[in-house]
Amino acid sequence: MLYLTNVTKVYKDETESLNDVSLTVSPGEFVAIMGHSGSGKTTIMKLILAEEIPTSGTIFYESQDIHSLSRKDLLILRRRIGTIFQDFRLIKNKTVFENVAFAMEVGEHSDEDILEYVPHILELVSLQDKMYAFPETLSGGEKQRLAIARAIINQPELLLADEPTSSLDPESAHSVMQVLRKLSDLGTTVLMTTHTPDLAHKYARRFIELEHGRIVKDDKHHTNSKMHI
Amino acid sequence: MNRTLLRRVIKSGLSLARRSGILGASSIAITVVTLTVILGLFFTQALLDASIRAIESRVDVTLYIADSANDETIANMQKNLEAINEIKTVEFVSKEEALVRYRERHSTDDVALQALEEVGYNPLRASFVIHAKDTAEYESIITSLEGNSTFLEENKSFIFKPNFINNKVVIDKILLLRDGVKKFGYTLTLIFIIIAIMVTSNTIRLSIYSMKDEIEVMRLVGARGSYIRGPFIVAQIVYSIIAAIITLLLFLGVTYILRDSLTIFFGVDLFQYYINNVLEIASLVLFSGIFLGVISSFLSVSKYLKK
Repeated sequence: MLYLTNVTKVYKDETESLNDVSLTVSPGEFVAIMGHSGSGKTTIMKLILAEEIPTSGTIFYESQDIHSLSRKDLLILRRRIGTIFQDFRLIKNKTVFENVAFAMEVGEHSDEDILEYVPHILELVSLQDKMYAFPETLSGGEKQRLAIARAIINQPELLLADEPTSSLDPESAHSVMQVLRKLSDLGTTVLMTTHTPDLAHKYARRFIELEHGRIVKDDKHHTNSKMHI
Repeated sequence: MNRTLLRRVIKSGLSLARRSGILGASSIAITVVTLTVILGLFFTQALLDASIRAIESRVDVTLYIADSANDETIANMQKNLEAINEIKTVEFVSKEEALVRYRERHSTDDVALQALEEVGYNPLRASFVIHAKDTAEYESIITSLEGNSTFLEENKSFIFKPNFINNKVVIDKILLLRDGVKKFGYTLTLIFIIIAIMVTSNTIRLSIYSMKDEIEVMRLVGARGSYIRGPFIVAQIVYSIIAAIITLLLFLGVTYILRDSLTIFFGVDLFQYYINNVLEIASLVLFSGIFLGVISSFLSVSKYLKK
């Protein structure tokens, strides 16, 4: 599904963030990329979203070279990928409902679908009572659950979660990980970054460790049974 | 852009305008300042034009007519003069009328009136007072009269040399003043408008800059440029309409309050001018505001859509 081949990224200030990274993610996998700050975790996410361009190497999503896509095709691809950010990145002047509905509007869904599915997805992340609240009135856990709702509303094939629990208290962090795991169990491919190995080992199925921009460990054999949440 | 997308963009833009709070208020305030500058310059130009027109209306060319000319000759001469393209009006002033005007003009000048009494008869001549369509055309009217051999030939015994040469210096000064005022006015208008546009544009850019993270998120979830840009443009149109209404009301009040002073000083009732041209003025203000807002928001958002 996702193929990173010999990807190197050197930023303008000559900081090397990734060094010859190759990685294949198969459909349905729940991959946790771990590592310290500056190890290159977020750079991988940015490269997959084409926010950054690799210095060398290629990234293919299915048969498409992400960085060779036209602007229009890139937007279409981004609609097929759900993204959760460490800092939530919610739209401040839109309500909880509108933040989620925005992703559906971008996906060109009808008003009827939006009115039907948005309340449903908000119920799934336990935000049905906050539908008309603005993001600034939500707690950290609620903001991240809203970000998840926005990311999954279009039923993406791939869900990217960049340190989704780093701003949360332990209880909220577990709650968010449970949602990600549930999505994985339902067939969504999840690629998340974290610097909390405990959480990763409890919920993910594959663990990749990055150090100074290189993969130093790729544990594909660790398995845990389907979780019942 | 299809109908659904357009509807969503408008709805989203109206929400953005309603919820932007202090940022929206600052956009409105700065747009009011810009529109005030534009409308202020528009009125200043109107005042200057009116003042110049008032001076120009006092300029004329007078053709004096010999006492021997009879009514038919005078009527023919007037007809010939009116046929000249550059001439706006030809007023016949009879000997009697000239005398009345002289007495009125010199009503406080005892020496002039006494001199007239001593002469014992009306020494003034009948005349044609000619007003040109444009001050610059007086010279060409004279040239035209001199070049019109038929007119000169037929009327040479009845016409005295026109007084144009005497007025030429004044007319040249007026023309110079008019051109100077126009050039200065346009240059000043242009400079002020450019400054106002830069200030407004930067304020709008700053308010959009504060939302750059949101714009980036919209882009990352796959929103089209038009869908991201649209609501900002709609919101800016709303601010511009509000700013235009405030500016128009502001000027309505100011011109009403200053009505008497301006009328005395410039000879122009600016309030009446406003009322008479309200549609033209409202369109100018509204379209300037909207144009400014749309261009500024379009360029500002586009900056964050490049990736």
